[in-house]
Amino acid sequence: MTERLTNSLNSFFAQNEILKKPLEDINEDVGFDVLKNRTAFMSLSKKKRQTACELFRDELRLSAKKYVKELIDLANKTLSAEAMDEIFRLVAHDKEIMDQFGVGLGASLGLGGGKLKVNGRVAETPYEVDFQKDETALILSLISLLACSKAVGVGADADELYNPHNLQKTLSGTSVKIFDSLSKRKQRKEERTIKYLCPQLNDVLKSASNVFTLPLTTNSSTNVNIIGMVDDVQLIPTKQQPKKLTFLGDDRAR
Amino acid sequence: MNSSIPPPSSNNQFTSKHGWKDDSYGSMIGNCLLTATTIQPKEYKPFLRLADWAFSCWVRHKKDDGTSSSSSEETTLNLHELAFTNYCKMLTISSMAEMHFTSVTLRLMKLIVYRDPKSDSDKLENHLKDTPASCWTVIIPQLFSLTGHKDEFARRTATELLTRMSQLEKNSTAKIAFDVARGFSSLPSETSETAQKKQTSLLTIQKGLVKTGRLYDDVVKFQHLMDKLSALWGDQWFFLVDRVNSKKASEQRAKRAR
Repeated sequence: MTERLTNSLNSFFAQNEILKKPLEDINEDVGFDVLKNRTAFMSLSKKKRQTACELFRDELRLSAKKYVKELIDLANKTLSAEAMDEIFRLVAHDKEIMDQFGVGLGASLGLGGGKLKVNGRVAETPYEVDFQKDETALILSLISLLACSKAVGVGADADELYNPHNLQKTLSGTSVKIFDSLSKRKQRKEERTIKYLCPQLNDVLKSASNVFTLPLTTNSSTNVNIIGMVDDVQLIPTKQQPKKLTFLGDDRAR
Repeated sequence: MNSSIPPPSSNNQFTSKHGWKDDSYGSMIGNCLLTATTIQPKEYKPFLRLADWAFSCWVRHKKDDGTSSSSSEETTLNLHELAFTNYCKMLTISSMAEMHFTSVTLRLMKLIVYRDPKSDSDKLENHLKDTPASCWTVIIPQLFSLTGHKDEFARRTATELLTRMSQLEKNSTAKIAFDVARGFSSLPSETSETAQKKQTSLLTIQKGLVKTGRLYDDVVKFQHLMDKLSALWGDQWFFLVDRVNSKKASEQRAKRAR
């Protein structure tokens, strides 16, 4: 599945929505399709190439801003406070993003003040602990790429990283790594158990069993209370892959 | 019975006391029903029939009458009050253990929402206070929809009924607690006027729920954990990165799925 995913991702990256507009601009500037004619692009004078890369970087920063905001928003809901500090360092050069998000730890770092409270999330379940441990680095590198944080300095840096060929490869590589990692995570057996995903759920149900009554039993003489959950979580093999959870009643029925 | 009531006409006189026409069949029907309630004051049926009749007349009057003469307004007001009072009275004296008057409570809700601003809101509220909390349990979702209503009376009434139910009706406490907790989590991040009104109403109901003990905390905790389980972090990132990379990705995957 991972291989199929990687292949399909690679096949459509050429039409990447984020890269499309900057590439069109740069093509117009140099007079040919830079992705198709790498040799021609590299044969441009160094100055011309650097100017093109800087233009590409600036355009990319603008067109990817919307997505960077979404990524930071989700990062705030899923990554640790330390990771959020790192993100703020990466996007500190972008005033608009800082105006929107720079509260909480961002503010404590002296990175400005904004409208939303951003201070990351503490992992509460084994699943979340593992997620933060495994995925943070990859997510940070994706945000860093799209926010153009490493290209604050211009010239040689921009030429190296924001050369359209290199960026295409780096962005695809990072995204594929994230997809790959998340797909592998889904295949693991422990990902389908309540104990790993959310062990606290059973504790809550046991301690407050009289609160959670099955709605279908209102006509029966005695109500059936939910006292727990079956440990196995079933994944329905459809596009959205919804989960099937099984509750246990105090009459021992499922 | 209601089909025999002639449509109201602004040319006829209306009694200021009850709101029906003096010289029509409607007047006779109204008087009969009113007499029935005085003969059998402990039976709920006469009150129900009278309220149903007044409600139908009120609906028809509101629909048909485009004029804004003072007598016409007064008639609408009287019919509204007659229907409202008798529905409340009927709920108060009926034995709700055996039956659920869903349509009655829904009609009362309609009367609350389309209340004339000139009507005596204190009087209406007092009538509602006498109704048993159990009869409102069947329309909990509808009452929640009123908690963000633009009309202050509708909002206050719905909030008061929900608070009363959460404290008096043990079987409904958890149901209301779930809705309140979900209501807070689904409020939009932008502070619009409606959202603020809704939030104020939810806070009032929440205060009442907190008095019932640990239940509300358990419900909030349960919902929080269920949210975690239904939208795992990995899934959220998968869909976002997918969308960020290309819209083409989802199109291709949808094609493959088909």
